[in-house]
Amino acid sequence: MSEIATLTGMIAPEALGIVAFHEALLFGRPGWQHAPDAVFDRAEAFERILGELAAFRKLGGRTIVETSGIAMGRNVPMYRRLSELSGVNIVSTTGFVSQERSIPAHFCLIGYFYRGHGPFQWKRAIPGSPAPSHVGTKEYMMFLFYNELTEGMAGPAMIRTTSKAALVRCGSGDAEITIAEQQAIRGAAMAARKTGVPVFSDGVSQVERQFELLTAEGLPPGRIVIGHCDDGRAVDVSRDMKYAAIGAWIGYDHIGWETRPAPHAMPDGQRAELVKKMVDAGHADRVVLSCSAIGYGLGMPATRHGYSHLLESFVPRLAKAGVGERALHTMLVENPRRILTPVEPTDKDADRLHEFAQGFRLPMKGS
Amino acid sequence: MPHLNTLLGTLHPEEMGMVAVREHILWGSSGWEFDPRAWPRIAKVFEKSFNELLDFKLLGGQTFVECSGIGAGRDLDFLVKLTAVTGVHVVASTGFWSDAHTPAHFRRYGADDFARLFTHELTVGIGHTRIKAGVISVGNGAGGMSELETAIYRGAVRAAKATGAALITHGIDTARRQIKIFQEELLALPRVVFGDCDRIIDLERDRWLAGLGACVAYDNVGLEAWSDLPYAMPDQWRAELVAQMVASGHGESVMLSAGSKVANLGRGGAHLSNVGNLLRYFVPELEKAGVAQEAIRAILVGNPKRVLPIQRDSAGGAA
Repeated sequence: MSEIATLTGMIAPEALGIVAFHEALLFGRPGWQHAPDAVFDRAEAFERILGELAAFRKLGGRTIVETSGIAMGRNVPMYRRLSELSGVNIVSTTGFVSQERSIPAHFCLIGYFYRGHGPFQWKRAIPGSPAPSHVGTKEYMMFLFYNELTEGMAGPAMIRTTSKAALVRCGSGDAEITIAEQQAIRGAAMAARKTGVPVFSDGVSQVERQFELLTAEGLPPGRIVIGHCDDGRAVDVSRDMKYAAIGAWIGYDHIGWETRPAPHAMPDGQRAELVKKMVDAGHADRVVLSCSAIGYGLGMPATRHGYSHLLESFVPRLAKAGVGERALHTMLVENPRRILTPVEPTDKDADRLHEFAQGFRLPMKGS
Repeated sequence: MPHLNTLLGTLHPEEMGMVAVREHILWGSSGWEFDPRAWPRIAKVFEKSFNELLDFKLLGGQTFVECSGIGAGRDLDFLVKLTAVTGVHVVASTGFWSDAHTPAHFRRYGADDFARLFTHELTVGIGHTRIKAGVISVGNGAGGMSELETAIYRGAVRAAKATGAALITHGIDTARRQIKIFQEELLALPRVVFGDCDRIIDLERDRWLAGLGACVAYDNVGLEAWSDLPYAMPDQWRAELVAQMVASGHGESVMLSAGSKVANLGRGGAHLSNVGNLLRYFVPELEKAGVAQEAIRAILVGNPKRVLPIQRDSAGGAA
C-alpha cells in the first residue's frame, strides 16, 4: 500500500517531486452543461491546460493534485492524456465540496422518493434508520467514494474508468454544515479509513465542526488536510498552529487569488507572512502550498494565474521573506509525499463491507 | 401561426391528435449521472421506451409531452431517436422542478436569468443545439414555495409571455401562490396548465382554477392502489373527478396524462404505470363514469390543441 494512484498508474512516493496540492483542470458547477452560456471547447481547453502544465513542469513542478472531486467537471480520460503528454503526474480526487456548489440533489435527499420493491428490499435499508433507502446517508457516500478509490473513478460518460482516486475531498458552506455535507464528510472519513488515503477538507470557517465530524469517524488528524486556510475572510494563524500542533495538515492553497470579486481574495504578501509565521513557529512540516488555479472554466472564468504561479512568483517571494531552502523543500516535496502515501487501512472491515455493498445495488425496473 | 416544437421541428396543432400532457422517459434528480448505481442500462431503457410509445401510438395517441426539465433526465439525443423511430411527436420541456432539484450552476440565477434561459431553449435551442423545447414545465417541492422556486416561476412566466409558450406547473399545493404570481406578472391564465391535480384532491379548487380560465391536469392516471405513493388512488376516483368537472361545464379545462416514468434513475423501481394505460384502461373508465364521447375527445385532443402550441400574434408578440 505504499504506492500512490495517479492517472497514469501507480507511482512510488519518491517520484512525486514538487507538488501543487490543490488545483483544478476543468472546473464548473454541476449543471453547467445545460447552460447555453457555458462553452466547453474541448480542444481549446486541452491546449490551454497542456500549456499550463508544461509551464509548471518547466519550473520544476512534477505533480498536480486535482481536487475538484466528483461533480465539478472532472474528466478522467482527458486528464490522463494531459498527464501523459505533459509529463506532470496528476493525482485525482473523489468526494464533494459544499452542498451549495457541488453536492447534487441525487445525493442529498435521504430516502427521498424511493420506493423499493421485490423480496430483498430489507437489504437496502440501513438498520435503525427511519429512511426507506440509504441514499443520502453516510454509508451511501462511503460506498461511492470507496468504489472510486478502489475500482476507479466514474467517467463523464456512464463508464467507470480504471484510474483510481488518491484523495477524498469534503467540505461545507461558510455559514453552516448542512445534513448532506455532514453525510459527505462522515462518508469521506469512513472511506479514507478503509483505504488509507487522506482527506482534504475546505470551508475553513467551519473547520472546528468538520474536524469533529472527521475524527468522530475515527480518522486520525494526520490524515486530514485543512484546505483554504488562507481564505481572506477567515485568516487565523493561531488556529492553523493549533491544528498543526495536533498533527493535521494546513493548506495555504489560494495563492494568486489576490483581487475581488473573489470573496476569499487576499494579497499574496499577506499569505507569505502567514507561511513565514508558521515556518518560524516550527510548523513547516505541516504546511502545503498551492494556487487553486482553474485551467479552464466551465460556465465561469478561468483564473488569471496558472499552476506555475506557485513556483514562479510565490516561492521567490517566500525566499525573499526569509523562508529557508530547507523549509521550502519540506512544504513543496516532503509534506505532499507524506500526505499522499497511503497508510495501512485502519478499518479492517473493508472486505466485509464490500460484500455488504453488493446488497445495496438497486434493481432497476426495465433496465 | 400557432405551432408546437417537437424534437424534430415544428408541428401544426391540427397534427397533434391525442396528447399525453405530462410524461417522462428518463427521470432522475440532478446529479444521478455522477452515481454509477443510478446509471440506467441505456439500451434496455430505449427498448422499453420504444415499446411504450409504440403501444401509445397503436392505441391512437400521437403527441407525448416529456416534462422532465433541465438536468432531471431530459436526454435530447435519446428523445430525438425515440421520436424518429416511433413517429410519436415527442415534445421536450424547459424549466426546473423544485428548489432541491435545481443544479448548483443555476442556483445563483434570478427571475430574469431564468427567463432568458427558458426563452433561449424555446426560441434558439436547448444547450448548444438547435432543438427547441415546446413547453415550459416548472414546479415546487412539498412544503411551499422557496425563494429560488419563486424566481423559477417568475422566470417561467416571463419566458411564456415573451415566447407565447404554454406553462405547465407541478406543485398543486401552492396553487394560490402561483395564481398570485401569474396575476402580478400579467400572464393570461388560459396559457397555464396546473398539473398534479390528482395528488391533492380538491374539486372546488379545480373549479376555481377552471373558472379563472386555467387548465387542470389529472396527470397520474394509472397510479392505483398497488403503489405506496401517498397520492395513489383508484382510477375510478379520477374518472369521477373528470365526470364532475365535465358536468359542471368545465370540460374545456381538463387534461389527462399518465405521468409515467420509463426509467426512474437511482430511485428504485420505475413508475409502474405507462402511457398506453391512459387510452387502454382510463378512457373506458371515463365512459363508465358517464363522460360523453365528445367530452373525452375534447379533453384528449381539443384542449391540448388549444393550449399547448406556441401562440404569437401577427406583430410577433405573445398572443
